Order: sequence, then C-alpha cells, then structure tokens
Amino acid sequence: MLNGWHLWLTSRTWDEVALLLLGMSLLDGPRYCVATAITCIYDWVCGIKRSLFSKQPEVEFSHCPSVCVMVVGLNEGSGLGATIESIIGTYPRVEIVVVDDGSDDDMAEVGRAYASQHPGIVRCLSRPWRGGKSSALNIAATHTTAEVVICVDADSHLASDAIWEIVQPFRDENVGAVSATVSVRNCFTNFVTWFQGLEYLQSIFVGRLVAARLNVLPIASGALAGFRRELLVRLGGWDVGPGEDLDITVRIRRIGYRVTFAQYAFCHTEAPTTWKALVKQRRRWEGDGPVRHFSRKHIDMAKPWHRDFRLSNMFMFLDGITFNLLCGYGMVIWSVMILLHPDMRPHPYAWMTFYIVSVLAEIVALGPLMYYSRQRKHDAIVALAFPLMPAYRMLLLGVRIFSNTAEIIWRKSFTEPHVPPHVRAVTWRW
Amino acid sequence: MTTVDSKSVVRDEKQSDAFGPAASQAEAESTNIEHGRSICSVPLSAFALTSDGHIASPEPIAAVATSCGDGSASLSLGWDALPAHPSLVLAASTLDGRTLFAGCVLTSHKVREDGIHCEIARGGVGERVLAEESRVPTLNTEFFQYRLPYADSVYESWSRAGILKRTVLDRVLVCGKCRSVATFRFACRQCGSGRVAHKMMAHHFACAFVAPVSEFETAETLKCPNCQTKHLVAGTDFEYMPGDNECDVCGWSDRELEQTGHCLNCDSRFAAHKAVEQELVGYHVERLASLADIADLG
Repeated sequence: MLNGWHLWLTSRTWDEVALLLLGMSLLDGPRYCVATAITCIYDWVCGIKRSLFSKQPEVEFSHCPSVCVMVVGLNEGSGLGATIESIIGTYPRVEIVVVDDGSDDDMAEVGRAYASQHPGIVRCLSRPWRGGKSSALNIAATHTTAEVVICVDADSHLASDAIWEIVQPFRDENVGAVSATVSVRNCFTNFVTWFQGLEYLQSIFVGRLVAARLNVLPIASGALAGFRRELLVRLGGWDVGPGEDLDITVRIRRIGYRVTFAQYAFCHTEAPTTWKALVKQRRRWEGDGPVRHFSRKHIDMAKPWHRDFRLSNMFMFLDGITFNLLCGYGMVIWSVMILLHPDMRPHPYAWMTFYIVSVLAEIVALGPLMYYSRQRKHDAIVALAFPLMPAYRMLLLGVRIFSNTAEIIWRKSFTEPHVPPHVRAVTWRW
Repeated sequence: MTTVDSKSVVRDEKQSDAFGPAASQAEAESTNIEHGRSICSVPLSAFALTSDGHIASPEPIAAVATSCGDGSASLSLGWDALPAHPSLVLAASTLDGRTLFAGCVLTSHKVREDGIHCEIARGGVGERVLAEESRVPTLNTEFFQYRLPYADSVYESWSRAGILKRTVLDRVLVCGKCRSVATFRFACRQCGSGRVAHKMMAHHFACAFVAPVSEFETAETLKCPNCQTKHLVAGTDFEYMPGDNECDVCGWSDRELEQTGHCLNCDSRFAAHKAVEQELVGYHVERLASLADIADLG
C-alpha cells in the first residue's frame, strides 16, 4: 500500500500537488502550525538572548489597579458559588458584581448569600425578568468605579493568578482590552470534550498569542476578558448580542486602543459534552463574527477613506473574513475541484495524502504548544487527540460554512434565543 | 415560730390601754372584731428591710397577726425580732399554697412578757417596691434607657428572698456603646443616613444601554444618550429598572440599603446586626390586696 501511495504521489504533476496543498491551507490546523512555529522560534531565540545578556530579574506582577469582576448569568445557580470562590482572595483590590439576569433557579439567592458573607466585596444584583447578557453587563458596569472591569462567565473558574495576569497589560495606557486563555475543564469526559480541549489550547492559548503579536486579535472572550472601564463608559457599554464580546473588542480597537493577550490568565470552562450541543454552540458562535460584525456592522473600519481606518484593523478584518468566512467556501470549491479532477477523485490516495499531511501539520503545531505550556504533562495528554483533529476540524468547518451562509442569507444571529425576544424585536439588524 | 393562742391574744388586748373603749371591746369580743379590725391569730413571715429598700436578711422573722384591718394590723413578734428599720414585707401563706406579700411600716411597738406587740400600717419602702410601676422597666426619656426605679441589688435581694420572681418581659435592640434605645431604618451603608434618594434606571433594548432615567430625559422627549434614538416608549423601546439609592449626605451610591440603628442617646449609627439585644426584665409578685385579708387565712 505504501509503495502504491508513493508511486501515486511521485506521479503527480506540480499542478496537482499545488491543488492538494491549497486544500490543506484552507484548514485551521495546518495554517496555525506555520504561524505558531515562527512565533515560537522567535520567542525561543529571544529567551536565550535574554537569559544570556539580561541581568535584571523580571518582576512578575507589578501593576495592581482596582478591579471589578462582573459575573453575569442566567440560571447559573449551580455553578456560581464555585466561580465566586475561585475569585475571592486571589487579588487585593477586587470587588465582584453578580448580575442575575432574571433566572428561574436559585442564582440570585446564591449571589446574595455570598454578598452577605463578603460585604464590601461581593454584590448581587437581580433583575426580575430577562434582558439579555449585554444589558446585564451594562447594569453591572454602572455599579463600579474600578479601573479595570473583568467579565467572567458564571460557569467558569479562574486560576488563582488569573486576575494578576490579566491586569498586567493595562500598565500600557494604549491597551484597552485584554484577552485571556480559556481552557476546557472537563476535557477528559469524552472524545467531544477531548477534541475541544486540544482545539482551545491551539486556537486560544497559542493562536491568540500569534494574533496579538500581529495586532490582529479581534476578540476578548466573554468567558474571561479584561477591559479598561473608562473605555466602556465612553463606548456606552456592550451592544446587543450575540457576539457582544467580539463587538465590544472591535469597538475598542475602533477608537484606537490595542487589544492584547494575557496568555497565562487561565479560565477553566465547561465545554459541551455531546456532538449535538457542540454543533449548536458553534452555530451560535460562528455566524456573527465574520458576517455580522466584520462584513456588516464594522466594515467601515476597513475602508481606507473612513476616519476610523487603521492598517492593523484592516488586517484584522482580512484575517477574520478570509480565514473564518472565505476559507470555508474555498474548501467547498476545493472539494468540488477534487471531486471533478479525473485523476484524484477515484483515488483514495488523494484523501489519504490530504489527511496525513494535515496530521503532520498538527504534530508541528504541538511543538509551540509544549514550548509555551506550564503544565506540560496535562497538555501532552490532551495533545494525544492530534491524529483525529483534522477530522474534527473538517466537522467544525462544515458548521462554520453552514452558520455563515445562514447569517449571510437569513441573518440568523438575529433570531438567536441568546437574546430575549423583546430585545431582538427592536435592535438594529446589521 | 412563735405560736399564740387566739383567745389569749384577745384577752391581752382587752387588758391593754392602747385599744379603744371597753364597751366597744365587749361588742367586738362577741363578734371577734375590735376597733374595726378582725381578731385573729394567723402565723406570718416578715422580712425586715433596710432604709434603701434591700432585704436586711433573707431569713424571715416569724410573726403572728393578732388583728387585721384594711390598712393596719397588729403583730406579735419574738423577743429578739424587732427590726432595725421600721419597713417590713409581710408574707402570708394561703390555704392553696400561694404566698401573698404586702409592704408595711412599723408604727408602734410594746414589749410585753410574751414578746413584742407592734402596730403596722400598709406602706413604706416595701410597698413602693412591690408596686407595679417599680417592677416593670420604663423608658427613661433623658437617657432613652429602659430602667427600674431601684438599684439592681434591691431586686436581687428581693429575688433571693423569694418575694419577687424575675421575668423577661421583652427584648429590645439597643446601642452597643451606651445601651440606649435606637431607632432603625434602611439607610446608607457608608454614613448610616436615612436621607437616601432612590434612582430609577432605564434599559434601552435596541442598544442595551443602561443608565439612570434622568440621563434619558430631555426637555421634550425621552432620548437614549448612547444611540440618540428619540421618542422612546416604555415597555416597547425601554424598560424601567430599580437602580441604586444615592445618599444625600455623603453621596454614596448603592443598590442595597442597610438596616441601620441610630442611638437616641449618643447619636451613634451602627449596622443593625451590631446592635445589642437587651432583655427587659420585670418582676412578678403576688400581692396581698388588703391587710384585712390576713384574717381569712387563719
């Protein structure tokens, strides 16, 4: 079989090899491997240089602004206690504002119990009916005067030094928002969560580092993100979602502030445990980014004649639209081309080559992951899912294509139950 | 305890110069009434009091009531039982086992062969302590404290003697500093002032903006200060939400007010949970309605 494959491969013309490589470049994994490998090598060289020539020891945490952690949720009573516990005592100048967005469960009671146990640190606000995550965040923002606002999902747990890590970049006055690393807490529950565990490590832990270095990072995830409060006030807070985390980050970039990444600010979140739940989640996430926000709402930022135009923002849009939107359709076109190609279509070797090279790219991407990792043993076990990752990525690409198409044609994100109907009915349709 | 035959007491009193004319004595003898008093021989206990109202000794003096009227009576005491201070508390046991108390004052006494014969009248410090207004704490309007009129040691000595029974009448929250009564209200967490204004918030649905209603209000219409949308309609375009309470005194703003105490005496303000719970202690006693009732107990 190997001989047959070798013979098939060596008999390909350059056009056919290029066609195969084109397909691989449309997948997330192989694409990541190139950028992350370059960044990793750069950091490795800088690290050696620093260890040889720098005599001053690095001060790890020197910036300590006042912080308000906003925990907003709907029916999150079961996980709220653990989330608050993971925050209390980890940072000296912290206050926690819990907003119960009209929950039917005991979220408000849990919040109030913590507020009475920790007066002056925890506050609980409860609204009688649901108004959506954005307005709940805006309510929380009116109850603080802290310099930095940190958003945490009610089902996420923070690492003990996460707040310290996330506030450090705010030393730079040009930094308006800081993205953090979201990792999967239940990654060994089953294959679904295992794949997500590795995906989060590659696309967030390493991927966002690269995006931040290139100054094209468009999002500070809602699970854990830091914002300069004065900018939130200036911008009028969060706009109606879904995708409110991406939207606020892009708006911060619009007014000229940088978005950076605190790689070691970890937040451990619960990932969907079934394929159905995963697909549903991704359908919600994927559509609104490249289509609703990049191509519609904020497209003026990429126009050279617009007052908000910046080169870095244009590259951010190009990155987002190309890789999250166009690559999907490119993959569809590529698949059709392969299927129509007289020599490749009948040959399983074509698909085998595609898959094996994709797996090799995944292996290359593991190098940077291990280089940056601070818990290598754990991450190495998570990384063992790599042989099946190309298949997983193909599935997610399918979901992405579907979501983007639904958004382009039907503006599906405006019918998301994520936003209450009375808000959906009156908000602007971009 | 000295026991005295009632007939001999009647005989002695007939011989005494201290009691009325002979004719009325003869009349009274036939009906056991002398000078408007019932002739009797009822064993009693008497507690001697000090001038400041304390029980001189928890051990009672044995006495026998020899005649009883509404407000006065005659007692026969042992040789060595004459109290240093004229105030007494009489304790009379009823047939059903209860003990009734009355405060008396010794008006005169005569030393005779069989003991000391004395005249008592209702009143004195004992009667004042037994009065209801002395046993129930009342609010002192100068210091705003619940107080009893006599010193605690007086009530303790009366309780030890078994006359008064300590009873918790109520519990009140008082100032931790001076134990005076405080008023409670929902007030500013920062300064404890009750002068707080409640702010209403508005949530504009279309842009998710949340701010105090005052920021939405313009001269002619309601307008979102974030997206500048005009003519907002409540319920359709925006909703009212409960907002913070703002303190008029210190400017502190908070969603939740705190139940705060304000001491009426020392003016200190404190969180309600820091108030001290004080028991209002009163004393219970079964009083003898009239000294004349002693005769019925024989």
